[in-house]
Amino acid sequence: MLDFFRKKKHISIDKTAMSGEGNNKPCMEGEITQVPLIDVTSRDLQQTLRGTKARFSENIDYNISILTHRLPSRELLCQRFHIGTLSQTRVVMVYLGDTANPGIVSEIKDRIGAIKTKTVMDSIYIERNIEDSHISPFPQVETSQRPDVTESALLQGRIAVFVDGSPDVILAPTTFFDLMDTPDDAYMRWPVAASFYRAARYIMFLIAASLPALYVALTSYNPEMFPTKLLWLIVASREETPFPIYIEAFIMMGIIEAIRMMMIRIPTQVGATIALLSGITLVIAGIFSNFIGAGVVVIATLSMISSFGIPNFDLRISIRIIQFFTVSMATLFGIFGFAVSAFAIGAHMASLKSFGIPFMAPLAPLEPSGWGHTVFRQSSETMPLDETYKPLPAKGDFDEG
Amino acid sequence: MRDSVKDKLDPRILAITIIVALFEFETFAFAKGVVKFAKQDAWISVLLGGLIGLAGTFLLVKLAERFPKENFFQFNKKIWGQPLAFIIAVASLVYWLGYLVILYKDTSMATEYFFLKRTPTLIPMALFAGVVLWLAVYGLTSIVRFFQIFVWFLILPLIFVSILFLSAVDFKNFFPVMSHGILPVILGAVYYAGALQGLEVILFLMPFISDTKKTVTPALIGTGTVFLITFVHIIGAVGILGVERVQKEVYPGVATMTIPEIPGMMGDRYELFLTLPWITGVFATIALFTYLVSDGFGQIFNIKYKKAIVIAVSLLIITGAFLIPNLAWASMLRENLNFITFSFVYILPIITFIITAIRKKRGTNE
Repeated sequence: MLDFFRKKKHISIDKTAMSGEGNNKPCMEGEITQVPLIDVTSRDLQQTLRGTKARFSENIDYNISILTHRLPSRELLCQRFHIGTLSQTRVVMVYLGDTANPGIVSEIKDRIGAIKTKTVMDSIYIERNIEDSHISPFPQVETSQRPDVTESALLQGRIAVFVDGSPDVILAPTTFFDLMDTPDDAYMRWPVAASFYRAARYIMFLIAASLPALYVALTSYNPEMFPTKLLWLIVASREETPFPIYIEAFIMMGIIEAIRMMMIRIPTQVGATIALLSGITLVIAGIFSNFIGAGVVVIATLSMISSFGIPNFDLRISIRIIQFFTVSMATLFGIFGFAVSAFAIGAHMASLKSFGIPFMAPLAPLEPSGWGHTVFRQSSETMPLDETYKPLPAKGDFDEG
Repeated sequence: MRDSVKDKLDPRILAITIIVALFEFETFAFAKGVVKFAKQDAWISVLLGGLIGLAGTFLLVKLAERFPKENFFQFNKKIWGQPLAFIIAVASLVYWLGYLVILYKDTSMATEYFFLKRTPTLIPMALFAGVVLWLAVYGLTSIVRFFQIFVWFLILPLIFVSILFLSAVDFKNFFPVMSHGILPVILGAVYYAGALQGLEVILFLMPFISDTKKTVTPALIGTGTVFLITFVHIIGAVGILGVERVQKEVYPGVATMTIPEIPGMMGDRYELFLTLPWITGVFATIALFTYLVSDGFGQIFNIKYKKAIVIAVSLLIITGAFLIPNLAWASMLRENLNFITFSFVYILPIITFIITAIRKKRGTNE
């Protein structure tokens, strides 16, 4: 596939995409022209060992042409918009006519059509305008630069929104399990290994969200719940430290965030080296001078490592912030506070929806038929499809009012 | 957006809902009440009570199945007539309010006992009520989705704990069998069946289920799971602590958990595995019944301000909880409530079912 993209210097595109006409028509229909292929460069995001190395570019025509090449079907429909009174940015909503839920299609169309702005600088501005709740820490749409991920989403009945000038394609609706999904899961040969790594990511998610809070709650309020030997180790490591455990936790979490921001600001090998060196120096100096206990360093580092198991950037950032919330609650109210914060997050996740689809589907509501490519990865010769995004029969309709 | 496509619930979730609705404070304290009546024969009481619970579940499902689009308050009018149905509904609401008050009181005392010894209980309870309120406002489907997320954190530690229990049981504590006759055993069974408070949720969940014909098996699995875990629990409590100590302990479930030691395991105390499921169960039950009470008030008195009702109900419950002076009062109220539960969860629905069957009443599918 990579060779194909490299050899082929021109990709066909749909001219109607530029004219603003031909709404709801097959993407491949219309006068075809050739545009030079923009260099394909692999990026750090969503890197995989196997699968296409092609990525979307900032040119919307190129992006749609990749998609029409991968799915040359008359069911691949494009709905075109010009958003921004000043910029008239081209936005194209793409879906499979025979697969997507018509209710969701019309809802996304309405939400995009209702956007009133002068300019659209990036797909994030479309995302913010169309998602159900922008106060929620959890992203309700997924973004991807990968054509294969987009193709897979379309086949599941989801909708892709392309924005000119942005390589990030919006995929909606989105559930928690879409955000925890990686292309590697689908490309791994052995389903047991794929399911194992998927389960590991969920555990890492839980560790990232809750481990520091649980540690602070137990050490500060209920140390009797630790196994005795572990408690001795913790007590010994904190024998001469001057600060309470929660201050140590906040300091460590702050240092980790600072190092992470530093690595983003200096995205070179030099930056990584500086971050690594300063991090190690701080921690070693902190432990040896008894500023912080070794236990809290282990916990904070483990939760940081675990947070990198979360594939989606927005979800990862949310979990880091949620970590501060859970630690604060644990500091104030111990295990009780930790539990209440978990309930608050759980209540929010249970009530959150993405374009009418519950955020936690297919776990809640329970739809085991969808677990094959969400909670686990089933063994199948073809791509597993589920009912998560499909409309249910009319008799199932119910409004809680 | 009309986003109702996923709001209809799969019949299988009835099992999860029943499990979560039944697990609360009483799950870890019921042993004390059953042992008070049946002594070392408490396990027989639980067996009998469990069978009553399963039979009750079956009848509740069969009753609700006849009215697939209506909840208990709605179809009651067709069976009992408007005035009697109104009285039954108001009595049910008062009973649930009482239940919630006791549940909050139990929670506040347990919070003080286990977690926050020096914090005024009003603060954690207000926090707890705030999150309950938030969830209850979103409605029953959100509450059930919450159950589906958290049921694993409830059930897996409990199964782990149940396995640990069995390693330390001394079977001598169960002898002699039936030395006090059958009556204490029956009283214990009634007490235990009453502790299965929450089964009536079946009567309110049915309108949300997509295929009401497939609800019997999940409902029985739900009650059966709770029955199985509580049976292991009573075996553990009597078999490990003995009759006298079970009656002395404030929380026999937690006391039992402090005893098993398994060489080679990573820990030597497992209270945490009991504590977190306990808080989860209590939270879920409170959220469910806060919703049911608020929704019930809305339906009966035709009030449309749902959020205002939920807030008012929460305030009422917390105030009520702080009017109960101490643990002795709370225990006494709880014991009486378990017998009242028997009337509301078993006797009333059974009579309703009999009348429905005799008069051949059925709901419409519209």
